[in-house]
Amino acid sequence: MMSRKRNSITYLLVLVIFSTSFLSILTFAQGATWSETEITSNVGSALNIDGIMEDSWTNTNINFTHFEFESSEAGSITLYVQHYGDYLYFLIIAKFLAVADETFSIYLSDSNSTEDIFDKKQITMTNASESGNESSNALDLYKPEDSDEYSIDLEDEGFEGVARYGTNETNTDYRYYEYKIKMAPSNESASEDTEIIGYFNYVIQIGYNSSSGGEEELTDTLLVQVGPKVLAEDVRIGEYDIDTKLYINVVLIIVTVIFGSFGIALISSKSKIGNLKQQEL
Amino acid sequence: MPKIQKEAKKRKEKVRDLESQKIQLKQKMFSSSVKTYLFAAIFLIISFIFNGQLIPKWVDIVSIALGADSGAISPIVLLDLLIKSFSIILFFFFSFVSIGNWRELSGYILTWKEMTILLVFSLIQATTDGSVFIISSIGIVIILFYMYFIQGKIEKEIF
Repeated sequence: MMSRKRNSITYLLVLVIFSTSFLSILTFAQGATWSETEITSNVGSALNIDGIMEDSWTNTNINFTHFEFESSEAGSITLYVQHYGDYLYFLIIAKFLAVADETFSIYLSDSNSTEDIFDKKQITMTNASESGNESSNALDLYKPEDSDEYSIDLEDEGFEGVARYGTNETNTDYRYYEYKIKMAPSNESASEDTEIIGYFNYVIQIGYNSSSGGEEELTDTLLVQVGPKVLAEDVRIGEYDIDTKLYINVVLIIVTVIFGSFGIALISSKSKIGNLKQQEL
Repeated sequence: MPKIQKEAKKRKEKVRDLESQKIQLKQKMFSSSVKTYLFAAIFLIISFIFNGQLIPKWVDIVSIALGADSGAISPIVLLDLLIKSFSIILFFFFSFVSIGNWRELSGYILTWKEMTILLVFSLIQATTDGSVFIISSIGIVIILFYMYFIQGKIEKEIF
């Protein structure tokens, strides 16, 4: 009797463990997602990179997206984008459990393909758990073509970044990461900085790193449309593929027809020789 | 038979001989023109098949050989290149001879205009492949050089 009861408990336990694992896997597979996977940068203003959220960030409702972590412990982040003059600006508002050091990176591509991501703009906040004592460090990195590791961009042109705690009573729990990126850097090393042009869209990824673990890229990639989309179709000229096979076949048919006509003319000239022969006889 | 009549008969026979020789020469030229035309047609067909990429399997084999990163040129690629180029060069050569004979048969000579047209029709077959175009151009220039300087000289010496 006891053994039967023990067996039932064991089965129940196995069932609970299995269900929990299955549900966890399912939840993990679904993963956290951005509320919008495509955002459009609006024309903002010339910003001071100080980690303070100016009004120009909230002028429109198409320039931001929100990311909520599945785990209840972790918080959320909101990403904003705007452009002004030659610069593209990003603002990340993060709300996590306070950790000692915290890094947010923006991985930039120069196209709408994830394969072209090579430029990394990184801001690290130290003393992130203590409001008022925090400091930040911005770093420009790039992935060389022959490597999977990111290296420091020594020329480091046209990038500024600052992180700081919220400054008023209502947002003291939030950390602000503000990025200023030159859209078309004038340095000669185009392989180190992303060249961003208006009317196009670009794939980006956000990386997060707490001091306790390595940097992880947030699940989904985002598409950032720089300025209005309408003109993109007019400006972008697609490649025009000439059908070389069709062309050469047409050419060869023409040559064959003309060559055939010459053959007919050649055969018809035989009659002339025939006439001459008859005249001779 | 009076002497004057004999001479008239001899002259008539001579004229007939000359006429007969002329017809024979024309017949020879005609048959040469037809033969070279047929050769040119064969090479045009070869060019059509290879330059027109009419055998998909061969095109696949060549593109695989071309894509193989072995450093040296693959023999298949080289063979494809040679077939394409030489079919054009030989098409030009035999067409040149055929048209030349035909024009002569009609009592004219091959002019620069006709030569240029033939040159265009030959090289246009190679416009999709730069290497074939270069090799064909070199081959055709050599043929023209041969025809103009060497063959022309031989003919001058004979006649």
